[in-house]
Amino acid sequence: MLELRSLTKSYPSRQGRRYVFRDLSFTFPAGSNIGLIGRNGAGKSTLLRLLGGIDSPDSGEVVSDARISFPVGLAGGFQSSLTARENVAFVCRIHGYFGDELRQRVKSVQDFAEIGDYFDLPVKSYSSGMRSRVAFGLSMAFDFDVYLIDEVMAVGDAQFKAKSKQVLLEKLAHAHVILTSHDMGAIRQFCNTVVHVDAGQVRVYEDIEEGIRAYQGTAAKA
Amino acid sequence: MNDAAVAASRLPRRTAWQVQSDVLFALVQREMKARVGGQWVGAVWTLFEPLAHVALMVAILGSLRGAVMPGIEYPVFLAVGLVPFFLFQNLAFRLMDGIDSNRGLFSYRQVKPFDTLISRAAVESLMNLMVYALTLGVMAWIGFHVLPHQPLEMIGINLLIILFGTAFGIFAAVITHERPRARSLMRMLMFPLYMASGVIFPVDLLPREYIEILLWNPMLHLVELSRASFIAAYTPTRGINALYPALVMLVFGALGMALYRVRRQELLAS
Repeated sequence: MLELRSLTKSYPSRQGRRYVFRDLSFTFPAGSNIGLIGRNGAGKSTLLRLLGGIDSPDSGEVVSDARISFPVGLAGGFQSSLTARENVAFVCRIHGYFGDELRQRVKSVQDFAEIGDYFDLPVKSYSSGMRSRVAFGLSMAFDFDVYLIDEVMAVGDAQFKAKSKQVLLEKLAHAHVILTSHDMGAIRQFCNTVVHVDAGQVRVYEDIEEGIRAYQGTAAKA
Repeated sequence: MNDAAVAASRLPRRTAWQVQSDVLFALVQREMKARVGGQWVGAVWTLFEPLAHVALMVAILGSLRGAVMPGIEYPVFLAVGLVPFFLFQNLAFRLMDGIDSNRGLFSYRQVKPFDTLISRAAVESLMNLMVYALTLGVMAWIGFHVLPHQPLEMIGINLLIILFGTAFGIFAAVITHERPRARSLMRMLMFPLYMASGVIFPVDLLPREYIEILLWNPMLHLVELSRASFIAAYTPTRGINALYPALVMLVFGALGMALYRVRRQELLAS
């Protein structure tokens, strides 16, 4: 169950408060893989941050009993002077894993990332592709109920992309995804429901193609 | 994977308290590694900075002091004033930068800026107490008298300094968040504070009307009390007490936490 209850979110700006959502109530359809689409600045990322508990609303609340992931592929939390192993261990610990369970998960990230000896070198010596490999592997090391993905499907080389896609699809057999993307291919591939975010309102389309048309309609207007 | 295996590998359900303690534990470990690991030059400097400071001051001023404070070893006088002052200063500076340098972590919902401040305070206090022990150990080895005269009072004073530094650090972190340039100002103000806290000379040498003004500085009280608890022959100047710095600590702590509460959204935002 994932629900927004009279949610209001605004950000201060030089021209006064900008409201992203005003008194928005909405229930995400249960058991669906959701594609959030909308124009730039429509509030997709804000919505994703609110769902991820990274940002909190001005008023109202996000109600859920599901275990919601951190943004998939997030590399911003890596401390650059520490190694990938140490960074991964940190994220395991804040998710409540210690001892053997922790080592096992670190191992799984190491195997997935395939960056060899670099895994035990400081993250600052990595290329951005290596960073993404570790970050994506880290997201896949935990079994969440809902994975939040903000436009990160396009990292790495072809082989790594294929592997990421496959792992994600395996996860989705037992979990769900909420994904924002401007790439309709990705939406069609992973999602079965589209939520169109526009002007502080959201509309659900059970039929993906209809949702995409609605989005492209507003995009064309703008 | 079958359904049972999936259920077993699901993230554990934890109580709020467990989540909080897991996060603090993980952050403390991370801070330790980031602080100590990597550059050994930094670690060595952290350990020996107070000793170097004491040695330098003794070299400059040592010969002058014998006459001024009979029965008191000047290097000991310096060390037990300097190390507590550094404890405060390091806490204040490390916490001031604490939110910004951990910004990337706030994308994990269980990590809040306040957790990073608390774990930094824990790591910094621990490090500084170790440095304190090392400094006194080396001085004992050279042949100074470094056993505290009132050990319980000494522990109490150091705890008060830790609380004071933490409260001030939280306050500084919150108010400098919107204007990082204010941090250099804070750093510059630390030197006059150091001079006004009687770290390198006994304030009693000054005329009374100056002392009355300096008594507004809570760190002077803490430095003097640290010495009084350590050196039997040392009498702090008139007007020194623990209540005043404790009250200032409460004011900074309350202000810092209230502002944190009001600004918690902005502090999270990247």
